[in-house]
Amino acid sequence: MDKAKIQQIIKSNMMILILILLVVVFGLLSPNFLTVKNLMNICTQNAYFIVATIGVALVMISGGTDLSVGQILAVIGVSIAMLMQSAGLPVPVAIILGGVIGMALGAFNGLSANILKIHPMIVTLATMAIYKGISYTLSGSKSFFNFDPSYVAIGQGYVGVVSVPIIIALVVALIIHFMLEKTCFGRFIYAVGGNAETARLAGINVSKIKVMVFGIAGVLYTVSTVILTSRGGSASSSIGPGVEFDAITACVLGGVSFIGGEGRVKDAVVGCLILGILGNGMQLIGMGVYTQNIVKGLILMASIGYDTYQKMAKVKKVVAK
Amino acid sequence: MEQQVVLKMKNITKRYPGVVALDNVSVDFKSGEVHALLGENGAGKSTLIKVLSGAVQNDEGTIWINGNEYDKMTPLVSRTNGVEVIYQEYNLINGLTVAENICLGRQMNGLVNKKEMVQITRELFERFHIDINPKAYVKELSTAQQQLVEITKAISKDAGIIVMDEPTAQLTMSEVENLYEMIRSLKERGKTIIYISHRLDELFAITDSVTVMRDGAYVTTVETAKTSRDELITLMVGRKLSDTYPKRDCIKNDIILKVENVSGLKNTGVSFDLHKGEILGVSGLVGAGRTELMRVIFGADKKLDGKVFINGKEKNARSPQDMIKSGMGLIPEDRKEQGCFLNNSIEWNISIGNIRKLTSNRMIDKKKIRRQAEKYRDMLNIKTPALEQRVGLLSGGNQQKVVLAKVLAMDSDIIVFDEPTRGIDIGARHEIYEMMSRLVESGKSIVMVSSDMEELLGMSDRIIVISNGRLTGEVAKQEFSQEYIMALASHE
Repeated sequence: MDKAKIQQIIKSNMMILILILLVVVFGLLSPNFLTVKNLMNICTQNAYFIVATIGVALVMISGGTDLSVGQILAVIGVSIAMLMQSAGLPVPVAIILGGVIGMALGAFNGLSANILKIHPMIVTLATMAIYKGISYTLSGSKSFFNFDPSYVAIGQGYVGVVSVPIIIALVVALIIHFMLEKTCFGRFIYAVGGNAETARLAGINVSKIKVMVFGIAGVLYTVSTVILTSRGGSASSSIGPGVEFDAITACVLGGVSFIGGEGRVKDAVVGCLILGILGNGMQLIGMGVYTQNIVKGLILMASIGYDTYQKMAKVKKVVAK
Repeated sequence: MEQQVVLKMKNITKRYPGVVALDNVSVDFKSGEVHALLGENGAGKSTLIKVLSGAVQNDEGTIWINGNEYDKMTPLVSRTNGVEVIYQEYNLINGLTVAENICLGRQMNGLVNKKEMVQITRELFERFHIDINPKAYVKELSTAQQQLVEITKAISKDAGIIVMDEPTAQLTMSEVENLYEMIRSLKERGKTIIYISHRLDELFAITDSVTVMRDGAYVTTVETAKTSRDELITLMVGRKLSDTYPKRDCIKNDIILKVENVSGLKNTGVSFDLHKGEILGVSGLVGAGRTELMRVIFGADKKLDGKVFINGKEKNARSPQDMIKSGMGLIPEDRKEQGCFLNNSIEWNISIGNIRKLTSNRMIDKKKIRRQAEKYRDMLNIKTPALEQRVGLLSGGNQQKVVLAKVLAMDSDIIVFDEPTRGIDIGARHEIYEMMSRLVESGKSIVMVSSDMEELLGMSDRIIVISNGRLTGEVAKQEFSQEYIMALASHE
């Protein structure tokens, strides 16, 4: 194979290579890292995060950003808990209603952005505050425990050796991947994110697509919340918030464009796994929490910087041929 | 005046992956001359300018300037040697005033002295008869005014070599005259002006010599006074182009589009008809409201009043989507911002408008997308190594063909072309004209908004003129004359 082709392959899979590199490095540094159990554990722990990040990735591909995701997780978590405990509804009904709430909160983001004609980043900055207020009003700052065993089984159950959260995350990833790659709606998301005005002039209903994307993201947030609260066995207004910046970081790290129009489900998943493995690996080799933060930041900067450099250097390098 | 060579570009070669953008090009430029660079898009003019300005570095060759020889330029070295480039895209800062922009980078004892800046700007404007308030903010200016500010800014730096890339693209006729005045006075002071333009009339009006480039190579340099249009076209294209405008007979058919008293934000009470199989030209000055009128009719902007009928049926469009369903397509003026998805492939772009038809079992069928793209590639002669190529990497002419393919794929019967050939080289331009002729012959109808008078007169069956948002006249083919149309266009 010629050199340019290899370079091309390396370039388009840079983040996967970094992921593998991290696995190898931590494998060498800690004997406990490279075990099936630990790796499965990382995936299970990050399953909720992967699902939420895929939601954020959808919004980013459509040209927006969602800062309200963390607070939406909190509202949904508290709502489902209250629907099950205070209202005494059966688990499946509570989860479905949670989905409706998630979709509504997401769609509200999209609608506001359309009607006020402001960038989703600003809109979700505002709704972040609104949803925070809603979740604390609902919960009264209380935490909810002692869920129905059938609910807890979602987060803590296993099918053979694979945990249920991993299966759920995998299914979500496949469905959204299929939607983006194979449906017209998926194309329209890229079109709207790539250039909204061109999309509109090509007959695409841009406003509708935006609202739908936010709505679908809201449903994914619900799935994410269910994994999170059922696995942890508790829900409160402080479970969820904070995810927003990690999710955006994971997207950008994986290669989802911050300005829209580019990105795949694969990118979001790889971004999440890099963050997850970093956290787990550094824990295992006994790094202090504060040092972990510094290393995390540096690796982020280095890997994104290298990726950008690769893209720029491509033009300059191949010239010599 | 004694003319001396001030700039020699010797054996310049620049390679990009897969392409030789400049192939051993040597050109000399003299002081006190207006020297045109002419060539189709992709001929290497822009790359040559980028090498000169230091924006890209040449792989081989040397640049000799003011007695110094350089292997490569950097933006700083280029500047210190007095080279100023005025690009097509403006580099003004919107939030600053005209004066602040013009004096940007000029050191004034480290402090900002607004009075002095306004004074300097005012003097410059007076010298070149420009009527712009130095205290106005750039964002308040029209594109034409911004262009004039940009030029003034370059001149104010006392550059010896000034490069102008398509400087008239946004200007009205009187402003073009004004620009010519500026260029002549610069020339008298011994400056070198490198002038890039596709409009041949301009080259004959203002330049002293013309260097023709083709496919990255130097073809020849001729004195403007000793050459002719036909010779330049032949040199540039490398083959003889017969009639510039294809001939066809126009038969009056039924009315397909009827516009009645339409008003929008920039238009009041415009009415006109479009017949089936007709090319209707829309003339007017830049800023007269032609583009806005088309956008209102197309449903892209709000219609405040009036009615639009297609085939006799009233269409009350709320969005472009509605008009597209009624069989109308728009090829926007701003190709890059509104016509294409620059980061996506050719086949992706062509298929985005009718993707719903390119499915099997409701899933996107990549084979159908490919087949459709191949069909339009062959039909419109889109020049590309691969259909997976990003549209952003294509030349302007090929981008325009991709936009046209997208609109054709949407099955439009009425196609609005807004400035169909702006910034497109002669070869591709000719192909687009032929395509338009074939389209109307096959029963489509075309509305063509254009600022290029030649193109309007050559292609239209009928011309309507818009001035200040209103319709000021309709001209039948037998009455076509540039003077008459210009008079209507400047009618208040």
